Amino acid sequence: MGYRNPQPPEGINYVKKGWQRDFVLLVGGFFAGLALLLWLMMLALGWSARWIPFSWEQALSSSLQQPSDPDQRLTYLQTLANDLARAGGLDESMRITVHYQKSEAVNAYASLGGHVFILQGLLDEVKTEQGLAFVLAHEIAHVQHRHPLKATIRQLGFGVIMGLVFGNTNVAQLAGAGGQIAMLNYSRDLEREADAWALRALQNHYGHVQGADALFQWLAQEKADQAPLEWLSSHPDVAARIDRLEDISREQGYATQGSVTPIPDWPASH
Amino acid sequence: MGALITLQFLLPLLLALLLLATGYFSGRYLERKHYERIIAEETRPGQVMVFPSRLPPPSLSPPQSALVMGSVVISVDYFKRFIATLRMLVGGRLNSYESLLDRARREALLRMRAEAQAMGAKQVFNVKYETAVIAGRGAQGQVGSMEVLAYGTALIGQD
Repeated sequence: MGYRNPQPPEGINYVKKGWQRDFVLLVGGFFAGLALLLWLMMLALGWSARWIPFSWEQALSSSLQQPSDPDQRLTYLQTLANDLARAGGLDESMRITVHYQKSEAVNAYASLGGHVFILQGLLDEVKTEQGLAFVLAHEIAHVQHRHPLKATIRQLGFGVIMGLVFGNTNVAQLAGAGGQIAMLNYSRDLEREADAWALRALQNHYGHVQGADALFQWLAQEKADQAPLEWLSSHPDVAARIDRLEDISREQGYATQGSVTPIPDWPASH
Repeated sequence: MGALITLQFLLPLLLALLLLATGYFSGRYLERKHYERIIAEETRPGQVMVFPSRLPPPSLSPPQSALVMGSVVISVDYFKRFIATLRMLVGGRLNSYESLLDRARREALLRMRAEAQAMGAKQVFNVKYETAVIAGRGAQGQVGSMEVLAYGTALIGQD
């Protein structure tokens, strides 16, 4: 009998190697496009921070108040901060409020509305007023450059874009992890900006920058083996920061020799 | 603390990359093997013939006929859905689902032909397909499963 079932040609109802090509092209192209979009948005948001009045920041952070009767330590820190703010040229509309935290962690940070937090661990390790002043001025620089605000709105914008593009899917988690790493790059840029400002404030206040890198020296010695890879860190590499401080001092002609004063000894009542 | 931050960022990323790479290579390998098997079976000499026409020609009037069917249940996996999710952003052919469904249809037809052969038939007429979603429809985060059914009338005892 003359009946036959001819074999139909392949590649009509499906594309040969179609999903393999999709995978490579879409993953590559999509993330490249998303990275571009986010990069533009980060620039735009960081740039738009200048139009948000400082008073809005203060209103947002109004729940953070200094205790009404500050002790010696806090008075000392607040006075130092005020001096440095003046020396560094902090904007007239801004005000720094220093807070003290009894924590072993060697750290200090700036928050929205000009609130700067100094931790006891830092006071223990920097030893000198100049070392402390550099860290304090560094945090004041963050306030001056609106870094907490920029970081906040960037984080918000990042979350919104991720939510809009992916919703609550597996891809969102993957892209979110990648995006966080990219955000750290911005964070490192901000740290460098703050370092430069702080060094100038020290030169203006003390007439020299001796002892400014006390914290970095301590980090380089004590925590060298614990440092994360630079591209995974919110702060630049410590050795590079020390070098950069020296470079700036040389270029700007800051005095690198001068007298350093130890941090006063307060009674350990608090 | 540094190591912790490193882990916090890297672990999900590495895990996702590992899963994607596994999905890519295993999917590619399994699909190639499946197509090789399907084509070898379809072109095997003496394979039962299939016809879409409703009635056999009068010259083939058989002493017996029977309903034969072949059924395949498939599920979209996370990797294919990942590719499809990206594809849906730009539009175009959903390649990852198309090849999956193409294999399912052909596999269902082959199973129907195997059933017909086991019943002693050499031709199947009035071959039709049905597709039904059996799970995961519309639910967020659930993978979809579907059945592809091929059925027809086998002519038994015909030379």
